[in-house]
Amino acid sequence: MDQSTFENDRSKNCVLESPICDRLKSEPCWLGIDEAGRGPVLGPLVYGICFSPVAEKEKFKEMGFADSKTLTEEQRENIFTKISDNGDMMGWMVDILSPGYISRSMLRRAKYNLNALSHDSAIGLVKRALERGVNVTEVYVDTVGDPTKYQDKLKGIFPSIDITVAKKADSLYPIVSAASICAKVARDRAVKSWVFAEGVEIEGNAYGSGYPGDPLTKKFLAGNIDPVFGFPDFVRFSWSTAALILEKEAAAVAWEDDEEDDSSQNSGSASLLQFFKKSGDDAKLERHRFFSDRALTPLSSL
Amino acid sequence: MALTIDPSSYETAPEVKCNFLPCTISKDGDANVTRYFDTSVRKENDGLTAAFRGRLLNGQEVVLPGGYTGLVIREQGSAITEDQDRSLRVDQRFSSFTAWNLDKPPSGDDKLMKALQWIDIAKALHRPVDEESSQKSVTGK
Repeated sequence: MDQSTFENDRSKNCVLESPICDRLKSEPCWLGIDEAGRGPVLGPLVYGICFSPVAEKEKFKEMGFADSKTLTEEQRENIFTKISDNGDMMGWMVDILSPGYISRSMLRRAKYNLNALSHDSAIGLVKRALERGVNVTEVYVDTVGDPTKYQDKLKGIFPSIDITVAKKADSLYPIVSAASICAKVARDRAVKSWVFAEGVEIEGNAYGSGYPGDPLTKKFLAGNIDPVFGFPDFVRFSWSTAALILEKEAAAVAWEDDEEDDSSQNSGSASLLQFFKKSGDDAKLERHRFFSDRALTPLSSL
Repeated sequence: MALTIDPSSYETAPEVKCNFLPCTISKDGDANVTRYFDTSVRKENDGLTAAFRGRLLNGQEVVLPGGYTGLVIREQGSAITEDQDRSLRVDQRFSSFTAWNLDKPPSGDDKLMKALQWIDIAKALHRPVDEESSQKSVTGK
């Protein structure tokens, strides 16, 4: 899996794909979708799809794919080699969603949450497979959210495809297991070979699994705080783990869309004192709107 | 108390790249801009993008109006009492800077762009008026 496109700019998303043989275009195919790296506070989230002719289902099942989480990294690499070697009966694609993209999406003015982002990535991959001419007739998806809602959404977009959304689909359907292995291999490689644009050097890239509870990950986070900029782009700023550390350890930053803290304000009813004021008492001489609209104020001292 | 800027410091002040961020950072002092911020800047089809604290910024290059120079000034020491004279030095200067919006493409409606209009308006308002045109404005003739 050549990741050089992603390595050129790790702040951007990147789709990688296998060659697609003619059988995958002419014969009806089943397609599995799964992700890797949803929970970690570090590194990319990777969506993967794997597809193969329906006619080869039995042969596919015999290839020994299992949920990527039950396999060691070495086993996953071996299986991925097997997937690549069997290009005459299967193909794959992965969508690497960079940690910077995840942060920026989730921290938009109009929040783009992780579920919507995940769905869009999965849908994007299926669309891409169809554009490449893959004859997809069945889709199997693993889900963390509500399966029926997701199923309806996919059904609406791909009305002619038979769609199955299930929890633990990665252990039920080998095509999803294969997709999960592609995704996990892509994520592991991306994390392992991470080069920090910020020039941060971590010996042996020993930042652990990226899960907030991992001691190595905790150590990495605690040791790489910039008082102004926070963390390098490798860290998902939108994770509460990261946000809480910065709240304590870095300079406070106020944005124009920060929610006002209303707790100290009056709850709507006017103060009783208001009624005893002389009218016109607080006729302040205000500056013209021209200036307030432009945040211009006179400067009389430094 | 007098506040003076050392004019000789202007001549030697080097040009500097400035960024105007759409947030308030509660810290004064140096920052690793080159390592952490400049590395996030990308030139996209519709302008510049960058990231700060994980948030998307959209930017544009703003050239200062003709006849103006931007100055980064620093106080030499600090005055202890209110009536002590204070002296400032020009540390750096700039003729343009990058204005960043939070997750919103730059437009003429941005506060900063509108604030820069004041320069032209102030010029018109404070221009000396000759007698003839001042008569005209009163009598309308």
